[in-house]
Amino acid sequence: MTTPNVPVPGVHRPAGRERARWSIRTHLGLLVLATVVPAALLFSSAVGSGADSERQVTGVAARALADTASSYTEQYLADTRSTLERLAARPLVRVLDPARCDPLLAELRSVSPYSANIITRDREGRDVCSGASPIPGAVARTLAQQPLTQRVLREGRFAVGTPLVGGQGRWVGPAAAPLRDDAGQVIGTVSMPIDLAGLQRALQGLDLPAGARLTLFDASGVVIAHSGDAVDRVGRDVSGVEMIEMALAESEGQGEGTGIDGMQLLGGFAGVEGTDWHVLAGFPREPVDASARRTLLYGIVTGLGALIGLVGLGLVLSHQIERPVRNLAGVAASIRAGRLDTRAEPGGPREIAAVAVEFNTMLEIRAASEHRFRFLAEAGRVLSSSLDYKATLAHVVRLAVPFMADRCGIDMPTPDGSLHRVAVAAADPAKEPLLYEVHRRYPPDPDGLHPVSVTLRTGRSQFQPEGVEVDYRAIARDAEHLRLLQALGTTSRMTVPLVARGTILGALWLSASESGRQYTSDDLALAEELARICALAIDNARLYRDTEAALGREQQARAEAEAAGRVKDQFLSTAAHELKTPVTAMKAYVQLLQRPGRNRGPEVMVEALAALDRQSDRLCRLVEDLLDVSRLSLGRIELRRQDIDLTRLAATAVEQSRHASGRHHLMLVTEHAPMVGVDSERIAQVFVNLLSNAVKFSPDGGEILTRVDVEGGWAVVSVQDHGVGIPPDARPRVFEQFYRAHADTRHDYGGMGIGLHLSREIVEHHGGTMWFESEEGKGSIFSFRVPVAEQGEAE
Amino acid sequence: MIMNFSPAILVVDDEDDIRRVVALLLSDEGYRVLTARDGQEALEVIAGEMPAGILLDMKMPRMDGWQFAHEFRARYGRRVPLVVMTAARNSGQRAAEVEADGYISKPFDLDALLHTLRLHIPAAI
Repeated sequence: MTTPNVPVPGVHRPAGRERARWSIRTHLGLLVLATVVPAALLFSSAVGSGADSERQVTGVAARALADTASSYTEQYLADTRSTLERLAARPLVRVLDPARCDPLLAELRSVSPYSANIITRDREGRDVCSGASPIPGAVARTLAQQPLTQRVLREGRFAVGTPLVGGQGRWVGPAAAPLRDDAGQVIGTVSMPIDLAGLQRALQGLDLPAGARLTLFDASGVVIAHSGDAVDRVGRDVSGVEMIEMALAESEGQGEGTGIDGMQLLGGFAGVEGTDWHVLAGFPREPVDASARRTLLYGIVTGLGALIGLVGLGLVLSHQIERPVRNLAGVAASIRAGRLDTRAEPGGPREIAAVAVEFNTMLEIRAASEHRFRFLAEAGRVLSSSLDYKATLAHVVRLAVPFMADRCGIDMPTPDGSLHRVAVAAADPAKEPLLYEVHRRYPPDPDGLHPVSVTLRTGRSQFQPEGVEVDYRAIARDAEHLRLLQALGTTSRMTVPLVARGTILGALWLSASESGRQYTSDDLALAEELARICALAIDNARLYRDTEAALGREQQARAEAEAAGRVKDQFLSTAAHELKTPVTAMKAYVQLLQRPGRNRGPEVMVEALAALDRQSDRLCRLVEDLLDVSRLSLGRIELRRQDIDLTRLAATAVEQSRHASGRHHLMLVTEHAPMVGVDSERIAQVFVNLLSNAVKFSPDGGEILTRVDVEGGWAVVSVQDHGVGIPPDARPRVFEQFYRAHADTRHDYGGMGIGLHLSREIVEHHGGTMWFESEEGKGSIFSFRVPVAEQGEAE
Repeated sequence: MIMNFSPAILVVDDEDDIRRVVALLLSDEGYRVLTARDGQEALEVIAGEMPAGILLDMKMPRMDGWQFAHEFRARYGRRVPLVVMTAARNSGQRAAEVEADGYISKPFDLDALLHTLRLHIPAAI
């Protein structure tokens, strides 16, 4: 299986120092090796030692056999020995007097049937007496020719000599014992032959183990007797044969080598007491070796079998373990690559199958959490797509159905305290109207037990995994309500609060019915997370809305404040200018009067004083106007009302204004004399303002017409000029405080911009209204009306 | 009469009393005085007789001092000195705007007015 080598976040892969790891197969191979090699070594050593020990056992057996044969031979010789020693003790024998041989021989014949062969010899080896007929030339033999005699004389004990073929063609071994005098000195020998054929028969009569063979031979390597061999080798010189040489060299022991019949033997050897004879007992090596070889062969075959079996078992095991493990590794790699629909086969040994099951469980959990994550991500995307949270919430509850619920909805309290069902979605869309219907007809009691109410009150989630039906009875208002609730058939339900910045904004509820699902704590956690992002979206949208509104208000307030500030600055500047004008005139006149005048008549003084009077009035009026502005702004204009003839007030004002301008023709036209209950000073002020405006804005002079009329219950006054008029764009602002039409042009008419505003305020304080008509370049008509006093007209 | 040959000063102001008192002062000082109540009237007067100097208010209806000064400079150049009388806060700047030869802030001392006038307008005789 190939898997794309994608880097996975959170998976730590050590880069450099990655150790080459052994596969399971390698481990099992090593296990097999670790089992087989010592076993093989142990086995081979056992086989080897078995073979060795068999050889050893055989060798010991041979040695024992040799010992047995040796003592048997000794016993066989012992008769002869005791006979000879007994003879040697006889005084007659010790005499060694050839003259007394006959009595001796006679006596000997009574002792032994072999006495005929008994010979006594003196220290020089000369025959003294001989049981047989005198042997020709026997006397002539020297001691040097008789090694046996020589040996017995030298050693002073019984000895057997080199076998020889005796007088009757019999194979005999000469045996001799020392003769001692009374002092114990060896003075000669007494000898007699031993019948070796008897020994041969005796040895052959021994019950030898199968394959065993015995060889009795003397120091010169001549075979004295032997058994276990078909060929008669008695008397043969076998010196030079391996085993014989070994026995001759070591006298006692055991070893391996070639026997006298040329066969490989496992042998033991021993000397025969009182002689220079040796016994070699041997078993053929071949059967022992064959047995060892057989054992070895069995061992090898068994070992190989075991090895093959183990390797096979290892392979089977590795297959049994490795395949499911590889399978799991493949699944893990797919998970890493994000394929969560992969499932591990629960095969293989029990432990690995358990791991596979765990893998699948883990995958299911992860897939579920992946689904939840996707769901939340999608909900978050929807919620952040727009600030119209009602639309986005409707979308979100649709996402929740049927993924999380059969029905889902959001209820939010409104400022008036009622509960608004903001959004609803049902897996069965036909039920949606029912959900709205239940809510409309039976809105949850805010203090009641309805889970939405409880959630909104406590801010805690209401979790009802089961038994929702039971709660219906507590919630239902009447039978119809209960019927509607039961029609919904909710079985499991979660109600979670929408909380943002510590405020409970509403409740999100999710319920299950036809799907039969039962909510778990995991579902509750998901619902709470969903509620959290919903609440966040609602809060964001509201914050945005509030911030926008606040920003708008603040911007407007700032603009207004700035405009007011500019107007105020402008007004102060204008007011200062206006105030300076009368002061300039007055100061100039005063200084003029102070100067010594030339060509100046008394009329100048009169003129100056009149001007001073005029200008101080003007100053006074300006100050009054300013105070009125202040009073107006504080809402403190007090009217001293009295009934007065409005026409008279008008006439006075027109008369006063007539002085102000020589260029204008001021006229009062009226047929009425309406009585009005007004503050005459204030209304006079209005007249002065209107008239001075009319003068001011008709710099070319002309007629200024003042009318007083009565219409209905109103006394209507109008002042008409034929001046510059008011430009259309300035008309809406004419009555604004501090507004001065033309002020921004090169035609400055002066004034503080308070006259018309003040006039209208005054008129309105009297319960009247003020208005105007104007045509640019042709003049304006400013009018006001005040209610006629109850007395009616004063004709 | 010598008086008839004395230089004429044109006083332009919309305020009757100010125009009158300045005219009285200048007459006392031996000037001939011409008056106008706005820029437009001043141009009419000038059309009749070119004054030796002009005392000019700035804020006037119909044609204000600024407009008059530009008109006057355009028509007659810089021959005749202009002295601006203004109650505006930044009178110096206003005078510079109309390239006036001098200025005096309202309200003024008569001596200061005469001083300023004599500084720019050649002596009468």
